[in-house]
Amino acid sequence: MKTLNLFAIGVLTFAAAGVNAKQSSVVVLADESNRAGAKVASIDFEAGEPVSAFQVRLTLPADAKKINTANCLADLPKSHTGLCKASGNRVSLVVYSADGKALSPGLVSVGRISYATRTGGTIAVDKMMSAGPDARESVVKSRVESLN
Amino acid sequence: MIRKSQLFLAVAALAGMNVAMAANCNTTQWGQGTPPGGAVVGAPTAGDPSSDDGTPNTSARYSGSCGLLADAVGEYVQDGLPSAEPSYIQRFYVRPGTTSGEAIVFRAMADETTDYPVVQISYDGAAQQFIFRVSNATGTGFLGTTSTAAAPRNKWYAIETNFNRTAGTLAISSIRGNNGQTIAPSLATINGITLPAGDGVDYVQLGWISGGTGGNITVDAFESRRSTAIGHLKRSDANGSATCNASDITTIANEIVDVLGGEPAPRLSAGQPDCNEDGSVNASDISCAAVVIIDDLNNDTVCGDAS
Repeated sequence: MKTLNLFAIGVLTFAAAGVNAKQSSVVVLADESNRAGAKVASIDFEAGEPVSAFQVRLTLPADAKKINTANCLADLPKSHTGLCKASGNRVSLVVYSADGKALSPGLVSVGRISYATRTGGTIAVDKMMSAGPDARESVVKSRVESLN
Repeated sequence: MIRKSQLFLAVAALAGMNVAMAANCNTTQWGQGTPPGGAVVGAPTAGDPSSDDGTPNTSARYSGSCGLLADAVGEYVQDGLPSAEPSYIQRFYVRPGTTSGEAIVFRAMADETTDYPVVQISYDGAAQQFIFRVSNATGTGFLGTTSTAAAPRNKWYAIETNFNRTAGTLAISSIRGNNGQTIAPSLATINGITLPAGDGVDYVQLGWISGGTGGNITVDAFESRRSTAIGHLKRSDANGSATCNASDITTIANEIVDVLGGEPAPRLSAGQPDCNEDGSVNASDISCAAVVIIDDLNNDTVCGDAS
């Protein structure tokens, strides 16, 4: 009986740990238009666990031009900084804490980019991953939402 | 002279494979094949970057926890696994800091009645360049033809060469370093090597072997083979995963915080955290790694290399 109880407790503990290890997500809100007529995509990060660094690549519509990354990381908390760079129709971000501090679980605004496109089209998100304060890697999901 | 019949000639690396071994930097992997003079000549320092981890020795390193610092001439390690090798490929990392004269940092030696260097790589501290020399036909001097490569001091460089006795060539296969630069030598291949019959590479020396003054010389990550190129380690792959991503930044940050904070058991990176290859791991390496990662994402490369 005692052994069985211990086993049951172990199963419950394992299950609880599984629930706690919530996967993080990159959330891109696409296709807003600003006053200049450019498309704007907002980028958020939903940390499912403490995350000290993460990366993601956005692939904009193939004809995307005038990609503006000036505010790509503008909304990050002060604990974090990063790089955001456009190349062709790709925009890549890496966000990190210079002293390894973690973002607390929850939604964090990263910033926004704007671009021009005639054809519209969707934004693809890939190459996502995050690192915890111990530099352990975790898989990150992505979600692209649209106002249209 | 054939010193050893063992055909295996793979890796002779400085010890210190992971964080747990940070307090145990040593040269125990050197001295195989009983090279003349033993594994260690002089008193080079096998150390890690932390001075607060309970070990007295500190040294810059390129990969893993440990490097080998020679702060005086005549401090180097030796490996005797080669055996009259007709073909010898080697790669090592060196951070030359000498300021004048010509410091010999690597020699592939023939073990004869009078030993002589088949291949010699030195660093001219005044001109800040590497000089590559090979033996002449008699084994008593060098060919007149040399190759040079510009290399500002106190930066890490990976140097790979390929000696082929049959072809009579020394190919300077690759020189990379100083923040990811590829450095072209003045001559990619030195031709016309004619060794005395039966002579080849019997043992190697690495460190500050002779010559040169001022500063110091640090070496790391030596590897040698008979065939197939070795290649360089991935710069900014701080955790040693063979990829570069956000976790490498956190790995670098953790090392910086721990070493600065004097942690007794610092989380030293297992891979190559010194992204800008300047001999210290600091905030500039975080920024450097971020650039490498961004470029990987945008260009489908792996730590800057074609995938």
